[in-house]
Amino acid sequence: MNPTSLDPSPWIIARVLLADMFHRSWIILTLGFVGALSLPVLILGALRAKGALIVEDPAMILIHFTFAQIMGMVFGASVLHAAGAPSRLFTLPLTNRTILLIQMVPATLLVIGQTMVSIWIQNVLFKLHWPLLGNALAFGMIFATFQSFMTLFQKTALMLPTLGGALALESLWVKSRHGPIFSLPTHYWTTVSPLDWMVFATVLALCYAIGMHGIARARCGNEIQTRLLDYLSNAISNFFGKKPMVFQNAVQAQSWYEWNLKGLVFPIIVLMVVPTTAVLWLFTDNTINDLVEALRLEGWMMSAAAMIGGIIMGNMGLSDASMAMSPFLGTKPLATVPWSRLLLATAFRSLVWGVLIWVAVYLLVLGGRELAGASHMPEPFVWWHMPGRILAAWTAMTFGLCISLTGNLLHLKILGGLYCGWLVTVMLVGSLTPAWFSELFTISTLSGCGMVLFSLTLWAWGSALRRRMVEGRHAILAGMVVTALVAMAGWQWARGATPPGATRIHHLLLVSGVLSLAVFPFAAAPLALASNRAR
Amino acid sequence: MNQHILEIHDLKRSYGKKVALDGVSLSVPAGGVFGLLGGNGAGKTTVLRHTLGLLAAQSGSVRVFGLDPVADPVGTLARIGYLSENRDLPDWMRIHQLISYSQAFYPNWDPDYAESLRNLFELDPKAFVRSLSRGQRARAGLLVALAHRPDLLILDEPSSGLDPVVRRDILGAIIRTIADEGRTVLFSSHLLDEVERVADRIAILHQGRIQLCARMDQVLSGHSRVQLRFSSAVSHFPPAGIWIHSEGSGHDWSLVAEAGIENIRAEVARLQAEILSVDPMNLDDIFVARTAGKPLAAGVRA
Repeated sequence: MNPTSLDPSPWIIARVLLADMFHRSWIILTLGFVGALSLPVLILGALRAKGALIVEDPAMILIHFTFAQIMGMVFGASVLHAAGAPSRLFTLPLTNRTILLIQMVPATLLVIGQTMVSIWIQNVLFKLHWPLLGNALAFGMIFATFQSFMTLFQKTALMLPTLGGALALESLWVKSRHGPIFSLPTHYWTTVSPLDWMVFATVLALCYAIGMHGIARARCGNEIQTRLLDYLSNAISNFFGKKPMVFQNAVQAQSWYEWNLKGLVFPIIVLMVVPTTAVLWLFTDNTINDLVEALRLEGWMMSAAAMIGGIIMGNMGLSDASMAMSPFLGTKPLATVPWSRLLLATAFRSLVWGVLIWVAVYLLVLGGRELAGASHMPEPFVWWHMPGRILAAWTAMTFGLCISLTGNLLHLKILGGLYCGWLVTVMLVGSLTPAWFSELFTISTLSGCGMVLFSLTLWAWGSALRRRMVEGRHAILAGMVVTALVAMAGWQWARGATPPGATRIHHLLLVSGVLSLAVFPFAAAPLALASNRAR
Repeated sequence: MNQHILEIHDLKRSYGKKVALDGVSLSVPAGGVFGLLGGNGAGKTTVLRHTLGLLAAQSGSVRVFGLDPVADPVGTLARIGYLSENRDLPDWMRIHQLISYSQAFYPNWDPDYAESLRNLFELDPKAFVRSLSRGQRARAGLLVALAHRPDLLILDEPSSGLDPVVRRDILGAIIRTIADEGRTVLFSSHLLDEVERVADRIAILHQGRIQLCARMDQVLSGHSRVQLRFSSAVSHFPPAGIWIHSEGSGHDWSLVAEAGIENIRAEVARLQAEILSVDPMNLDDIFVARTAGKPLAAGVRA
């Protein structure tokens, strides 16, 4: 028998690894795909329902450009997760080139394919004529850049500035395909010229070279030289880390732990989103009122970031994939109720910091607007918008925290699956049925969701009361808070014309459910923590 | 006063269809070193996690210091020191931060003792946990587990992945702790020479069941390897009665007996066989005989 016949070829190994990647990560990839598609479909659906979806409108170019970026980012994140770290392949009998190609080629093709398919779905659903190829190739190129820089610089301090620089250059190029760089996009990228293909091929070749260098270095354990940055980082760390710490009690110590490990996540997300918005604004439109509008919208979008922050904050496990409470934490002699309260306090602190950053930037821009002598505000001031944003972020953050705090990844998957399932159904109903039915279906399912959330809150408080994790007076107070919030929402409706009378009851159910989440974590957090602690 | 620091009664645990613990009953007396032995997947860590209140009993009961560790985690965990098998310490902390943080949870924390352990284990207070080697992580974990002078110290595979020098450090610290203050150590291991060296009592866990629970000296003196010669050839000799393990074929057999020499002689006479030798056994052989033996059944003679 020829012994070499037993040796698998790199192609067989590559095929096995790819099959493994899809087998392991098909849920993440599916969620990424549907999640990436969700925002465009929802917004376009809403525009169509209001009769505002005009294909020829020049504003659609900006919408197309923005949606392509959002989809690229969301799906790209899930592909990165699915591809995993190249280091897992280092001990296999594969050349550096094979490892790099296994990591980069399928992932890049997936991103290109997803962008094309998603734009095609939007074209079919909303009768658009958006071009498929240009943005798809561009996001494939951007993704390959991301991967190659990650491979070369890994988690060193050099990665952010170098990758940021490269991505900025590529973004400028992509923007230039839609019109002048520092203005609104003026046309679609309908034709991919030979020059575009050349840029695309050159960037991919550079990515290949960077990636090869990174794998060759990492595979033999050589660390990248970042002496100056390491020195600065250590100096800062030593300055803060040297301070002697004395904790008065276990709650104080655990609060310090939670804040240091996870409390800064949400403020950092806000810190990252704000300059990104500014850069995007610079690339697209230079009118100050539009920046004010973007930041105002961002204030509402903080809820999404807050949910991510909450999910991270509630993870008591050893990694993202293992969320069950680690023995190190599980064996701390700290009672469950004060522990859950300190977690909520940390979440609130984190939220306050994030909101303060946003408010500071918003006020700064408003001040700039005044200095620039802008004539009128794009939208009049509404008193409840600010508390509304904070409340929305609080409910999203603590809901994510409680789900994550159970330590069961399945709960998060079910939540994501339900959302995706609902979205796909809404898309199908929207494309197959008349507009009035589609709208009724959407609001009916949303009001059903509101009722589920309300029931969930009632169940959590009932269970917590039975287990003596909360007291009767707390339940009464929580009931009063929810009643007051619902009454305020009702009062706002009574003063305004929206929502229309026919769907008012649906809206009331939805809003009642969502508002009940404001008090949900006070009962759900100790329950979730207790179930995570003793499984 | 309850003399048992840990009492487990008819504890059952399943993960899906897999039965991890199948009616485990165990009592650990106060004072001394108790070794929990078992192969991979025997259920040792599951027992320890129940003891710590990290798992709730699906059936049966667990009492630590007379308390339910799930219902009263503070009452039990404040008196327990624990070193986990995977040494899951927070990577982002420095050693001095880890010490300050841990100190806040334990009223009995002894700062001088903690400092002496830190010196003994040669841990740099400014070092990040993430920069420690596996052995150093074990030392850091042990420092945190020991410095509040717990009534019960639980060590899950304390020697796992450690070099002999670190193993000596850990065992040395355990022995000192026990000798100094008469407290209890419960540790799981599959390194039998280590268990034999330090444990006062042992329990052998196999496929979720307790196979043996006794004092170490009783375990060692109560087992013997007996070389037998039968007058007529024997094709099959399944373990039964005092015989817990058998190897051999034809006339000559090597058996493991759990009995005193008088009982062995009586049983051999009944089998109409001749004793060639009776030898004492070490824990390693006893463990293999207990866990690798065939299921108990009636003897079949050729």
